[in-house]
Amino acid sequence: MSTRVGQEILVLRFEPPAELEQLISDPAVPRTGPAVLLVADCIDLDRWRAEPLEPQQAGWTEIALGYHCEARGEPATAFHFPFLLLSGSRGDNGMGLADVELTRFHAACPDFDGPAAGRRVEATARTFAGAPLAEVEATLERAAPGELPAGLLRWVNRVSYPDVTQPGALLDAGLWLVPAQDCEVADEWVGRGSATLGAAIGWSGVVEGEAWHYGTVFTLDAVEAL
Amino acid sequence: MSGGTKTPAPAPGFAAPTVGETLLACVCDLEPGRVAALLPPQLEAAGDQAFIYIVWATLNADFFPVRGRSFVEANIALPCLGPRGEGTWFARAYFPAKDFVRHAYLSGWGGMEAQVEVGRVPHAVQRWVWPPQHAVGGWVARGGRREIELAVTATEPVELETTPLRRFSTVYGVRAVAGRQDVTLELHPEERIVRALRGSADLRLAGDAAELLGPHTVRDGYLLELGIVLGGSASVG
Repeated sequence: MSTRVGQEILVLRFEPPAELEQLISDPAVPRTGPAVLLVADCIDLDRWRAEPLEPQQAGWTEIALGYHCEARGEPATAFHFPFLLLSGSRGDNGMGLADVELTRFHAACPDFDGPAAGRRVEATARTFAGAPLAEVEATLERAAPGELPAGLLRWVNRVSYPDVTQPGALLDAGLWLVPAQDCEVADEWVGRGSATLGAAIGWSGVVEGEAWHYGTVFTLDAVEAL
Repeated sequence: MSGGTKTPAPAPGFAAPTVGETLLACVCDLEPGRVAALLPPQLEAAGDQAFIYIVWATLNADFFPVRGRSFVEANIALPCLGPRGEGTWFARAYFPAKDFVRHAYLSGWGGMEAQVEVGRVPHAVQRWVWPPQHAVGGWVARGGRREIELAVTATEPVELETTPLRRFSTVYGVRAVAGRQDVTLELHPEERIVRALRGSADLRLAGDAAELLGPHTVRDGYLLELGIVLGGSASVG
């Protein structure tokens, strides 16, 4: 079923330490570029319009740790279980769960006029048990319309489910290509940022790199098995 | 004892935090005398109406932790006359966070802990879908039971001064704290209405909220966006 989605996204692109790369990489999907840490504030626009009295079903946040790759010969970004974590409303799609909060802006703030050079953007994520996943901070430096790195809106996911009959084992639903269709992007800003990854993600340490902040709307429709 | 770290206080002259708010609001007519019966004796009724708000807000304040910068709230406001003229008093101020409920109590409002949900749209997405041409809604629940459901379809720009909400941001409190009984007023050194739209409202009340207001007739719905420089509160009477 087709869904129109809106997202406010903060991305950190960085060269991953070897241990982290090994943790997040899937041998079936080779890394072709930087690692990617994504945090997003999301809304299902169709549901928001259709069910105004159920707004809690339309919004969610997410955090994902992955890497640039290729799928069917085109740039993409790989986010595999358990490194794609959603706050809940879509949490039954073979993904992880996390409590994610990020800097939210409000156009009506008297001293806020949108993304700007020097503006800080932050995000924090933890498991619902409270274990830290990541603390992200970035400082925007310049507007970068049309410069968004290729593949950031075309995703490869290995979808898995914990097997409740065998603790520690996964039910592997395979690799899926998820393209953002009829995509519009705006307010692209680039800067520098860093992330402190917490033990709950499986690797602790600080990474630094190029930060992107942007808004997008797109349609999620057909996903393809890879 | 050593090894502690003192938390730095904000520097003198530190800018006051600002907040951006989006309100879904509706106006209800109540039975004559209802507002006067609900208001504390320090305030006088300024009409037989109630204003219902469901709000999402963002503090634009880097010194707040990220999790503390965004919040939602809902209010049942009653129009009143106070020491500084026409304003409102929150008969109910619903917050999902205990510290905000405490703030409501200390401000002299009817603070209540509740789940509040509202159809917030991420800022970076608004260029494509905002202002909405369809209903936007939210709800308030206590103990798992929804007491307020409000959906507003507001598309007609309106001069706020011409509406019952003209003094909606003048908010009095009546507190009885530590032996002190006085009237408080929330201070906004700067305030600007960015958008005011009027339209229709679909309101359903249950439980305490329904009992509080009694028989009512739903009038217009509003979508308001405003920015405020927070200035704390003052004792005004």
